[in-house]
Amino acid sequence: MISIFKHLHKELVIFLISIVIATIIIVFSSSWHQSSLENRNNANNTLNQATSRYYTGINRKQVLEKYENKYKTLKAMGVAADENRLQWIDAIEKATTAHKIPYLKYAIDKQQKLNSSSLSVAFPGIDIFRSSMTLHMQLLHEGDLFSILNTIDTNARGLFDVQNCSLTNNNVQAESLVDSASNMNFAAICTLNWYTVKKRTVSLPTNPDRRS
Amino acid sequence: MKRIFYYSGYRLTVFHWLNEKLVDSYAFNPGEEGLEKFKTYLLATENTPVRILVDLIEEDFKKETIPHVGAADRKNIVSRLVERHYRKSRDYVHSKVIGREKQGRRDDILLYSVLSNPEILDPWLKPINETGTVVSGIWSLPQVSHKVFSKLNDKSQNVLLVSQQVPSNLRQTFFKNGRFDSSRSAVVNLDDASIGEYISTEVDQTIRFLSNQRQIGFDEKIEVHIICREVDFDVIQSHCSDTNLIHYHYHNIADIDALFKCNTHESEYCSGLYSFVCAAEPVPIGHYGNKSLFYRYYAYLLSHTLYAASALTLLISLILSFSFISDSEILDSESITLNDKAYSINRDYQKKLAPLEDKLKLTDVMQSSVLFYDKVIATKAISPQNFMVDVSRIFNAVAMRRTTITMLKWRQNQTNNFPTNLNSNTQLIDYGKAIEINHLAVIDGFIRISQNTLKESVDTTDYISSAFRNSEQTIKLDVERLPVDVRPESTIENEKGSNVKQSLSIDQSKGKFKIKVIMKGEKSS
Repeated sequence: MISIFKHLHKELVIFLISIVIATIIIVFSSSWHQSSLENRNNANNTLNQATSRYYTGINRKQVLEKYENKYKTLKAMGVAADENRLQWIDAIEKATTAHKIPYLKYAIDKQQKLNSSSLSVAFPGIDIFRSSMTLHMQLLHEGDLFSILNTIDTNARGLFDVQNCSLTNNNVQAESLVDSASNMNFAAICTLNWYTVKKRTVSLPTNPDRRS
Repeated sequence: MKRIFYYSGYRLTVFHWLNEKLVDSYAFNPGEEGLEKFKTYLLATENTPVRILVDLIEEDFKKETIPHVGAADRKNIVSRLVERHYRKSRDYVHSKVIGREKQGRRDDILLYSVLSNPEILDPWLKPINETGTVVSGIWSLPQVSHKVFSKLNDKSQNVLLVSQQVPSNLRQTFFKNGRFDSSRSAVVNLDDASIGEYISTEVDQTIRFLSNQRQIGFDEKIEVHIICREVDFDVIQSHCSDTNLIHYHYHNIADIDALFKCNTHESEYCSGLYSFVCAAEPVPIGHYGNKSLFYRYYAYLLSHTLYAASALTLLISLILSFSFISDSEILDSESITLNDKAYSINRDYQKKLAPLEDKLKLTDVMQSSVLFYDKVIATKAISPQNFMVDVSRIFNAVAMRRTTITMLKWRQNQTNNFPTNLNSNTQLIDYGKAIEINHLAVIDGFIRISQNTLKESVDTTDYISSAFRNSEQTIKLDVERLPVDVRPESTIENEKGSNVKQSLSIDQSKGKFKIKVIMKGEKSS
């Protein structure tokens, strides 16, 4: 059988050449095809990115139209801005005078950033800060507490909620407040949380080597 | 073009077949001159594969019964049989099993044919080898004649096919039950007698021989088909008369040609017809010959296979590359379209949205800030003011008159259960959670039991607890302490008639109540 092949030099050479040529043709055309495929995929990715950027932009524009004015209002209110403690204090002091509150003591703690995963999910892109304010009051009437809280709410520039409040009747011996000789019939202690929001800043992780 | 070399034992005739048409034929006589011409012919013509068709007197047909064995063992048995009788004819044997005995060991019935004097081919094979002519096989004419027999469409039990391929020979092939059985060739000398006389005599001799061999019974009919030239019809018919047991049929060569749809007009006798039958054999495997004779044919086949494989490889690669290239064209076109679209979208973006890019980056901040603000504002209803309003609504005027609240502790709450430490005020509301915020309060006070009858105090006590329980806003209620307990297992004591100061003191010590409550805010309910 091998001896037969000895007489088929030409045919074998032609066959091998044809394999080489076929391989070259296929490799060349395949690489061309591969290059075209990559170009098409790149073009497709570029289009997808452009489309995504465009529609994201359109959506953001709609969000902008919906929230921009209100956000500006929040900035003006001091909610989306640096907190203005002086203005809060001024509002409290004015309310104290206006409602003739016999005694009021206030204290504002250091501002703290709220770290909560649920807050990050519900309100992405912002950091929320809280400043806790404690009010100690002596009141003639329990209604004064509500008057002063309502006045702060109306006049102070900022956003707050009342976390807790306790109201104690100082004058339980009197049959009624009319009979009371004191103007400090009630003592109230309330904690208010003042909130401000800011654009989230990404803090880089600390390098442990540098720390040491 | 197919080349058939017909050899009758004397002269070698070359037939060139192009499909069903005989395009050329050449006859070469034995002797130096003839062989030289034959060699010249071989060198002058294209070296296409040759089929050698032998029609020799020296071809014997024999039947043997051999044990029913496998192919390899059968080959050994045949080799031994041939070795015993035809030592020189090792490469010129063809055998096949034509049936099995019906009784005894049910041995195989083997029919084998042998060229008893293969040297007769040597003078012709020598120039073939010298010129490197490609030989695909050596066929036995009697054994290919079954194709002619099948065209005659005779279903009789005994058929004898008589044909004259060359003027000097008469071939008689016997078919039993439609199958080739045996054949013999006889020398004819037309100078001594007419072909009719020869056929008549030879047919009689053959039938006698077959009867003696018990291949046909003495009373069995036999159909004799004679294929001859049209000019010989009269002389043959005049000598061959039908009898009770022998029935003659006459066929013109041209009629048989028509059955095969071939044209052998240049051939005078049946050699042309048989050469067509041989050329038409679909499988190029002959009956005789040493493998070394066909060595060049194998090389020829391999050469053609390699050429075909080369062409096929190139063709497939071209088809594949064409497919790749055409696909690439489509992909390039798609890329251009996609890039154009991307460009168009980017242009729109630059026109409509790029100026707003700085603001657009802040949309998340804006949206989250506003939503947070709205959430805090929405929970403003959860305030001590509103809680006091709600409590006032639950306590009616009578209950209010009979009770004094000494202390109210209120706070925002985000669960439906009382915390373990009610005095801790560090619990913050998480506005990120979708859990409702409610009031949590502890109310301390006392009932003015000194100013009412005990029954009125009990009614007030019942009223306070049921009023909270029945309120739709109440989520959870815990009355920790009540001033009047009328259950049999408790004690009751009260006093009347003391002054106001004493009464207040009694009320504060004996009329104390403490209620813990979790309530929904009005707006969030």
